[in-house]
Amino acid sequence: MSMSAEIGTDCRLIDTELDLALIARAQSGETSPLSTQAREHIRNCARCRQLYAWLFEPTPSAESSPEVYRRVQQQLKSSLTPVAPQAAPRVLAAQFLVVFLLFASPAIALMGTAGLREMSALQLLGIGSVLFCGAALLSWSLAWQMTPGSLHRVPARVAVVTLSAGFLAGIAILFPWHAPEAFLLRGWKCLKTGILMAFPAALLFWLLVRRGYAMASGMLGGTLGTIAGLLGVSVLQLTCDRQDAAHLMVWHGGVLLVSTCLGIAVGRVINRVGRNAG
Amino acid sequence: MTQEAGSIVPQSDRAAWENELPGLMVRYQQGDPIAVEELMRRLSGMLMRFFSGSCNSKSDAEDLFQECWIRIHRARHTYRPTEPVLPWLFGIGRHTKVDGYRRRRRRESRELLVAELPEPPIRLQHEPGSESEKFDRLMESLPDSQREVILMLKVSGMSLEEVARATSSTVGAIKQKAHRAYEKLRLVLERESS
Repeated sequence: MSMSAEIGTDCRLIDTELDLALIARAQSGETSPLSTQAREHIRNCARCRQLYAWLFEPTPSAESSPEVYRRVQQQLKSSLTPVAPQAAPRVLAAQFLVVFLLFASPAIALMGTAGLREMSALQLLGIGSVLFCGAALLSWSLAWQMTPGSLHRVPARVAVVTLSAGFLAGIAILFPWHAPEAFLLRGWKCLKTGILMAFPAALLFWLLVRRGYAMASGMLGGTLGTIAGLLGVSVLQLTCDRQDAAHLMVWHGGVLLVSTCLGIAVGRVINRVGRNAG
Repeated sequence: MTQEAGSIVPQSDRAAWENELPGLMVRYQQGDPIAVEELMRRLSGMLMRFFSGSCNSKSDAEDLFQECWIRIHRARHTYRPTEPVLPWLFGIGRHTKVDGYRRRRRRESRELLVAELPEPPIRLQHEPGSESEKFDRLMESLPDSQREVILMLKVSGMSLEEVARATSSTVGAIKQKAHRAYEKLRLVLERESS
């Protein structure tokens, strides 16, 4: 007789009931009572009794040795100073957004608004919305990532991918496709300017982020790189007079790609160095 | 003051036990040494169980335990009094565990053959047939990601949302992992009882 065949229909019913009870407990923290039939079955069936006991009885404690415990306690108490609690994620997100705008505004003022003049109202509204929503989404993501135990309503990976996809789609839909003219030369200049702008921006964002506790340095680095790259792209969008889809997609999009990849790489290196030092 | 022995979370007054944690964390942030003692007494058993579930030796688990408390201490300002304590604590615990695992793997990959073997580490040993032994044996049958979720759900009694917070994941993903883990545990128990 096969193993699964040995498990009776009643056991399967118990499995279903236990599943429901487990989900209820995990959702509300309270265990819903089992039916009389289930309780009766558990009393008579060794397999279900064992399963029920494992799932619902308290977990046995594990203890560190008293020396380790004392040593840790001493360490914590010897460096105990009052600290101010970190701001709420919404405040942190607002700070990131303010830094984004404060950094972008003087850069645009210095570099001129040739791009703004080239764009139609629809193009400006469309791509402006994508860039602003992207900056807000990434700001929230950074705030969640620097706060342990916060609920990530949008995972960082999803935020980065959504922004990139939104930017590319916006460009493809809103901007015309012209025959490339000095494609490489003009493009390279934009890429260089965007990346050069992203570097100090990333440093500024990092100064804000380091006040929290980074949970995954690679992803955090990637998000920092993306928001810094987005800042470069936003400035280029308003200052560059080449408003055709191919140029925007390849060279302005390239700023986003390069800065995201650099951010991930730097985050991983920092994580590795920190881990080895620890 | 020593660690709380026996069950990790008092089942009878769990809600009250949990409601007191934010207050203790606030006092910890204000620099109260009694709050440190009390928090360590309440949470150490839970953390040690969390690390024991994924370490081969007791010394490895204790290393992680120690490192985790130091990280908690350094990151204590990131706790917000309006938020639950356990997801915050386990978020840092999980990060400590992942870093420890990667560090151990790198160390192992660099190890050289030596003529004389060093003293073997003390294994995590429980009395045969004891609850702890049974618990660890069952946990070993699960893949890492599922084990982590079950450990958090079962050891700390956190809700799905709290585990999602601790793992920077979504409630749906946690629910799926927990469901798969229970399926697997059920198969192991069926095999054992037959």
